[in-house]
Amino acid sequence: MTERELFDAYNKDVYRTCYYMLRNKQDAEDICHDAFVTIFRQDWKEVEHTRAWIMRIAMNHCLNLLKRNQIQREKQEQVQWSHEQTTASVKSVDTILLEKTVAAEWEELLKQLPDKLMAVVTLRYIGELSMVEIGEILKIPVGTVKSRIHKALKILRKKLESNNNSWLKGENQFGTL
Amino acid sequence: MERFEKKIKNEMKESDNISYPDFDKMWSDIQQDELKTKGGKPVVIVPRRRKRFALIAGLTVALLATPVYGALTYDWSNILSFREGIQTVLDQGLGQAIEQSITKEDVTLTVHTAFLDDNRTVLLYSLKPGASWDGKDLSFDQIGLKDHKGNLIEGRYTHEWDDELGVFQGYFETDWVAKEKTTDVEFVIENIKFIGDASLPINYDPNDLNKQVFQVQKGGIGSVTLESFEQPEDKVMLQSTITFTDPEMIGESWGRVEGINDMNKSIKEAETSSFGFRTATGETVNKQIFKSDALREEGIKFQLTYVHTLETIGGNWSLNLALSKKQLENGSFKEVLNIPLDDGSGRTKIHEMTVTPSQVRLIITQGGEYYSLPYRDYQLDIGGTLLTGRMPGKNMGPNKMELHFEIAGIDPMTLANQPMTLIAKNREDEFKGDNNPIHLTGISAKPQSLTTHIKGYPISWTYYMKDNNLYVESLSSESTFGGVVQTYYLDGKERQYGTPAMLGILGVANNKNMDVYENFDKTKLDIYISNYTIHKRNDELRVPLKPGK
Repeated sequence: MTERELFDAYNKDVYRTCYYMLRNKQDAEDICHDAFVTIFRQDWKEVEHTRAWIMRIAMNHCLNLLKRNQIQREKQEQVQWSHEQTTASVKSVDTILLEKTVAAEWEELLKQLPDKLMAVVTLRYIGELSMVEIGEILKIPVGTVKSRIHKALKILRKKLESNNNSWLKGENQFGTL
Repeated sequence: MERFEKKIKNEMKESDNISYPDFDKMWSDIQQDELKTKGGKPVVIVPRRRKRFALIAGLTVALLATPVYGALTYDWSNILSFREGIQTVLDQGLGQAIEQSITKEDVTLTVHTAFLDDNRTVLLYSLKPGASWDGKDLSFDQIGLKDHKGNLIEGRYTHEWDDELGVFQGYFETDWVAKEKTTDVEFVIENIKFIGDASLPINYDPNDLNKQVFQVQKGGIGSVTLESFEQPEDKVMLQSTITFTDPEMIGESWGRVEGINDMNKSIKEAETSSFGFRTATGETVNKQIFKSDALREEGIKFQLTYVHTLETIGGNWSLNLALSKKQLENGSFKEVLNIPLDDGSGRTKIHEMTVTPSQVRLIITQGGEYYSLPYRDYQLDIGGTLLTGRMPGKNMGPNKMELHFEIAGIDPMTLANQPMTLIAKNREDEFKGDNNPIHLTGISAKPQSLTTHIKGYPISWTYYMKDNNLYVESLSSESTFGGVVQTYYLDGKERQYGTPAMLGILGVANNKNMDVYENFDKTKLDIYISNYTIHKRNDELRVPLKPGK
């Protein structure tokens, strides 16, 4: 695998991770870039679990930036700003309206997840990592990973239920984590 | 995965509600940084793009300022004279090149090389002060690594000014060991302080053996109390007790007494001094031993010299480092040994050995709590090369200690094949005293003497009153006698111990010791030896640790 192939294989996941963690396009882009610079400065071909390793570097960069910025203050306006940037090109007006509503709702929901929960959620669903890998990256016990995911799902589900989302109907349990 | 999770995953990972950046453009930017790193030449870097938020400027500067490889060749041998193992691996090209810099407030911090192994993490750094710097020393409010959670990892640091290069060169060393092969940490220095010596004249009379108190009330120092005690071989121990008005100065002031001769030179101590012993009441006590005639020479002017902060440059100098253990992985190994160490206790073992190309660490476990090994000097014989051992001051718990040996004069890649033997020398055993009383009679300001014996060793006692305190000195003409550690008297059945007044001066050539009984108002007293030591300087123990291959 060449560097470019590695970059192409992971850039979207890294960017999405950064985006959800930082809630800001510009920061996400910068940190995505820096994460890959960090990755390529190391002997990445020797790394055994490439995906987990890359996600760890990306997550560490995100957490570092979050810590520095304490971006709570900016979050509101930035998420708003990112919505305005969201475009859907060749779809009918009706579809766009519907998707915008759903997307905005998701954004709104995810925005409410605390950073700690967001970190496990992004590593789990974007990074597709195991509980053990997530625990190693965040330096927390596997049990804590499980409980954080459970908590995040509970928060999201509760919000969605209160909004009476049709696709949730008929589902009553969270399943095995 | 249940439906709800699938939906979340789909939203976060797949849905097109997120517009991606221009990845081709990003790739070319990343390539640029790569080329800078590999090119080996300093490149003027243009900021990639606008930065939306000033808040991330710190991180940006750190990352942009990265590649300055090969710009200067530093000689670290001076700074690493007590960390020879780092010099050894540096010479072998085994350090991880970092070369990241950050400039703030006209001070540039550069991390040049990192060394990560299973014993420690060491960073070589330089600090280049701005043009206005005029030769002062520097210290920091805080220096350390921060992990991804922001926890501070503390360590030791030392640096020295290099006149030629116009920078401070230093190292930061911590026992923190990265769990993973690679790890992201932040190296951070907080608030750089320019420090310098200040001195205040004190009107000390070296011929007056009584306690002399001087009010200072400057630079955070309250007062200094000086007492002198005659020592064998025409020496005088000058004890200075310093009180502070600013608690922050307690650990930082390094207050000490200097005698300045008519050549404007500081007179030298005759033996290694002990500085900064902290008392429970927040004072520091120094013990300096001078030649009597040097101290009492005509025209010597005394002063209290202390370190103080001249100027503080506030801020954080911080670098995000992607550290790797890869460079020192080869040649590293750990072995559980559990080899008995015959120190007479029957419960001491050399538990474990961690060998890396820069250092060998032995963990020694002991049976009794706070029992210390009787040997003072340690060496490691690696295939005929002798390395000197250090006992770090760190708290290992009640029944554990470590010995560190810096690798020098030996190819670090051959360590696995070399035979290793631990050599312990210079044995000093501690024994409980007998219950024979030592009768001190006619106690007064006039020093009086008597001689007693313990286990056949003669002990000369000298006792006298000074400043309402009873001083009891002990000395033996027999050099194998290590000294009386402490004395006590009996109050009913209760032991009342004297306070050792020479404590803190380890390795003094003689076996003299002194206890103080404060606020003493009697003319006679029976004292007893609580414990004493026997010092076998030529005793040597060899413990083979591993055979050669």
